[in-house]
Amino acid sequence: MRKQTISKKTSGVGCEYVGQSGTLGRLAHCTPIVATAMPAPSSNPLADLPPNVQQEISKLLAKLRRRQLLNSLDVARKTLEIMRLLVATSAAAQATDVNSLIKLIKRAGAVMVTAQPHELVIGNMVRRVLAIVRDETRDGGNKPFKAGDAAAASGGDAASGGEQTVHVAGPSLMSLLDAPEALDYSRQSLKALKGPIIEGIAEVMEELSTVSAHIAEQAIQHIHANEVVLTHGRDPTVEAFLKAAAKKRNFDVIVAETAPGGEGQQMAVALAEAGISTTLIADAAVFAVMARVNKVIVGAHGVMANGGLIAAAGSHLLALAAQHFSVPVVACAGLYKLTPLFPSGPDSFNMLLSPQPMLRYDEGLQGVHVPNPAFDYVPPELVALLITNSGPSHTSYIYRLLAEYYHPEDQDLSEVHG
Amino acid sequence: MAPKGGKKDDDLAQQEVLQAVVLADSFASHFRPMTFQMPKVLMPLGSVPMIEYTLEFLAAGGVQEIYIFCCAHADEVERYIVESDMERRLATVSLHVLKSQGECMSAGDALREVEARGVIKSDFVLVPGDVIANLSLAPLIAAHKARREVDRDAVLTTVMARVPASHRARRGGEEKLVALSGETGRLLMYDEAVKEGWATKVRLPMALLQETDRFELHRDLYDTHIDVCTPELLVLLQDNFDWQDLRRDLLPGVLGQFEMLGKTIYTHVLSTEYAARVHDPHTYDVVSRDLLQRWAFPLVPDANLLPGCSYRCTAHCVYQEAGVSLARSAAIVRDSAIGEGTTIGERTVVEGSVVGRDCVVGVGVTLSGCYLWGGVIVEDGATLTGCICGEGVRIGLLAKCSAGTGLTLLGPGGHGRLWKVVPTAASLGFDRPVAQGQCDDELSEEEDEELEETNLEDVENEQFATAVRELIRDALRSADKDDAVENLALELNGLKFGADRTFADSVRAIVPPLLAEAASAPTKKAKVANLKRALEKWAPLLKKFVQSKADQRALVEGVAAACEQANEGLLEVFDHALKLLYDREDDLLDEQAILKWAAAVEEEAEEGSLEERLLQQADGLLKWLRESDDEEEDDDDE
Repeated sequence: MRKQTISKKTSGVGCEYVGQSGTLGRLAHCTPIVATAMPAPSSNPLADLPPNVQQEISKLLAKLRRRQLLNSLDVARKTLEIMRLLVATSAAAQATDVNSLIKLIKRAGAVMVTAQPHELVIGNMVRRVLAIVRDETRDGGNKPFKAGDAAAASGGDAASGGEQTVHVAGPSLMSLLDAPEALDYSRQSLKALKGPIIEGIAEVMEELSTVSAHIAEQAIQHIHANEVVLTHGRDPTVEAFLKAAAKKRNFDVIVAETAPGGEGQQMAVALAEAGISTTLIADAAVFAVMARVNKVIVGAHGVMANGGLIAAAGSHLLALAAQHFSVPVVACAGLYKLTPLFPSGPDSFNMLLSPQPMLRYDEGLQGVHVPNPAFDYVPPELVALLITNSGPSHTSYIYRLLAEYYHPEDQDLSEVHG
Repeated sequence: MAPKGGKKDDDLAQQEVLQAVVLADSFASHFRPMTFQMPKVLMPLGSVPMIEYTLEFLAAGGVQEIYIFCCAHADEVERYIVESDMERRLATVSLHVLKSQGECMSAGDALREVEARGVIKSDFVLVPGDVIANLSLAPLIAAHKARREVDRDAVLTTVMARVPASHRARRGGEEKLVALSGETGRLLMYDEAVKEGWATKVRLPMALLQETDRFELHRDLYDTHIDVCTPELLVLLQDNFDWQDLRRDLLPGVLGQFEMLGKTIYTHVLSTEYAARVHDPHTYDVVSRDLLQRWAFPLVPDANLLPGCSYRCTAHCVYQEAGVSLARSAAIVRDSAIGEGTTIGERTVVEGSVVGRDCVVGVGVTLSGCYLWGGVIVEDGATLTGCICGEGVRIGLLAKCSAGTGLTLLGPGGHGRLWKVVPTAASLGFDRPVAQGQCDDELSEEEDEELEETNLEDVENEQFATAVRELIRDALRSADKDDAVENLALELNGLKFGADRTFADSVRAIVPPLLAEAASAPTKKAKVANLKRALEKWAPLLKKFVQSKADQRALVEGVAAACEQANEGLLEVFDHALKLLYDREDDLLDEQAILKWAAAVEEEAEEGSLEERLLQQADGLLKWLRESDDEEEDDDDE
């Protein structure tokens, strides 16, 4: 029994190949195939864009792919630079009216988002720019100062927070029942608008450079003397926040080590160097220490439309432990992390890292499955407060912020309207 | 402004550009028959051609100039590089394709040609186009440069990873002993295992003890084939034009002739990074799994290296592109990737497999450790284990195809054909591997133990056969000269002594290339005529090598091998070839040799194998021989 009969059933289709197998020599004479198992290599999704923009996008994507650009603030800045370049050179891509500019921006955004779906700030920045384009078009490029920018410019000045809500542009509650504004973007010439749009992008960049400072400014309102604060991971915003509070107040920080990456260890060292009384604990000890904790402060990779957080892996566990002991969870995140998308399913916007830090390749343990997720999803009900550069807000208030900064038509970048 | 700009240019010129050479050809035949039609580096691994990973690895490591050296299928590689817009996607490197202009049979030849082009300006990274790695090159290069400061004679830094010999990555039979200097990491010995592991003794060169106070003997080092080379190495290769393989010739050459050449080699041992090479179907399987399990992170399927790819990773390392149609009861268990446009039927189980784009997998199919490239159709109820299915392969109803621990290659083409195993009516599977000895040139399948046993001998035979083939090819060009036979005999004899081969070995190697040309004739008649001419011309040469009965037997085997190698173009004239040799008056071949060969083959041949077909072809001749020699038949054909 050396061979096994495999086609037990005779059927027209199933047996088609068997008779055909005359000589083996035929194989070499088959029509040559060239790697068509892969998508057609000639399809360049960026083909419509100006060449220098293509190049910049490729560079950004390559850096992200190679994990050479990990700070989301840098990613946001780089995305804005690309957008500014795209607006400035849009004439090279035959974009003369606003509609075609919007199409170009969406195309560039869709390509970047598809390539790096978990890098949420890219999509956020693209949508911010689109909102600027739409705003400028509506205002005819001559309105000098608008609400969205006002909120951004006044930043974390929490005292003026009340005033901002009066200024809200876009589909606010007041205009909810009005007929939707119908703007024909294709009739608007781009020429006069380019300047204001680029100015608008510059303002967002300005906002980015002050995000950390604006959030840190609010620290003393949230951290009180002799409190015990628990955090984990190494989020630059949280680090700045704690350091700012330490200038005025004495408090203790407990840092969970955040295995297997060990970012918490670096965070503990950095905080201790800044003179904060720091305790480093194992992730497994989080529940045990939670009873002593007054406040949990975490950073976020993205803030979703429902107020949920995409945050470093382990955040969910932290938040659940906090809930058990009724400890408030405070999230610090810049407005650029505000994402107008809803998380769907446990794996959306998550990324698995290498199993290497958990199990060495040469350990030879085969068959062990070693998932190492980068992020957790923390549902909004577990988050007590979100501190952004425009002030503190409850997670149920996120929809207002979204309306302030994004245009509803830009939710889906892959779709091009009108 | 102008002078400032000028100064900047000067600075740029002085700044050293990091170069890399990618050998887009492995100079081996492990992936035949796939590599008859497509270059190995374009074979899809995970979701994209494997060269993508290599180039991405180099670009991520800060290489600025990459030279891709192609021999086989050079045009296709170049076309792919251009059409896939590789340079733009890599963003940070300039790509140059170097097409081989001469006869390039080995990595040594390739590097000699690279040297001849004069493109290499400084220390460079050398990798084959099938390396998947996530190590950062910067520290490696820095360490290499630092060593060069101390030891000007360091010509090469090889990168090895610590992987125990029992690890699946090593199971393919890569056994080697490596000795390193404990202090500096200098490579002192590089010894690949001979046929059956090491004999009872391992020979350690005395130099080992003189060079260093402390040395480490490693069995757990896995050669990643990533090298950092100096331009001096190219000069060294130029001088030693007989060095072919970088591992089998170059390393022993440099280490063994230290007294003479005075060059040194260092080894960089990786600690946590991943690096592996795809050199045969077994490693293809291992590396694919590693990719899917994210060991090579950030080189993972959902890095979507190609534009238009949209792989997303979900739990358990299951990757899916948009536009996959998955039946409700189908289960994608773990470590699998499914490409766009693929349909998977009810109750189908997919585990540890890559299913390419536009495949149709039927109802109740089980795929385990399979690699379906694209457009593959698997009909209902089929069970596939450990298969690589080329483009457009069709697997029949209830088909069963497994390869134990090895991998089966299913040939590409409109309809599935098993390589080497002739699919007779209603049977297209086998549960036993083809014995290694019968297909040493074109491995269709691998089974661990057999492979380990025969691997090195195969390799040596292959090398010898390659050298003989080259010699004969040259000789055939000048075949009109009167002394052609004499000259060739002289050269072959030299080669035979050089490689320590017997007459029988030589005959086996000589016959196929001599007869190869005859296969190109369109009709059988023309083939016979060609054969006749070739044999008349070269029989005196064969006569010089056929000294004994055993050599006669080798002659028959050689003819059989010729029929096998020439894409079986000679199969139909196998009996004619034997007859022509038999009929010669100088007793080149007697009937005993033929009958003994037939008897031996008859015992071993599997149904449907090539040997079986050769026997069928020679049936008439054999009968005639037996009739003419009755007594012999009784003795031999038991």
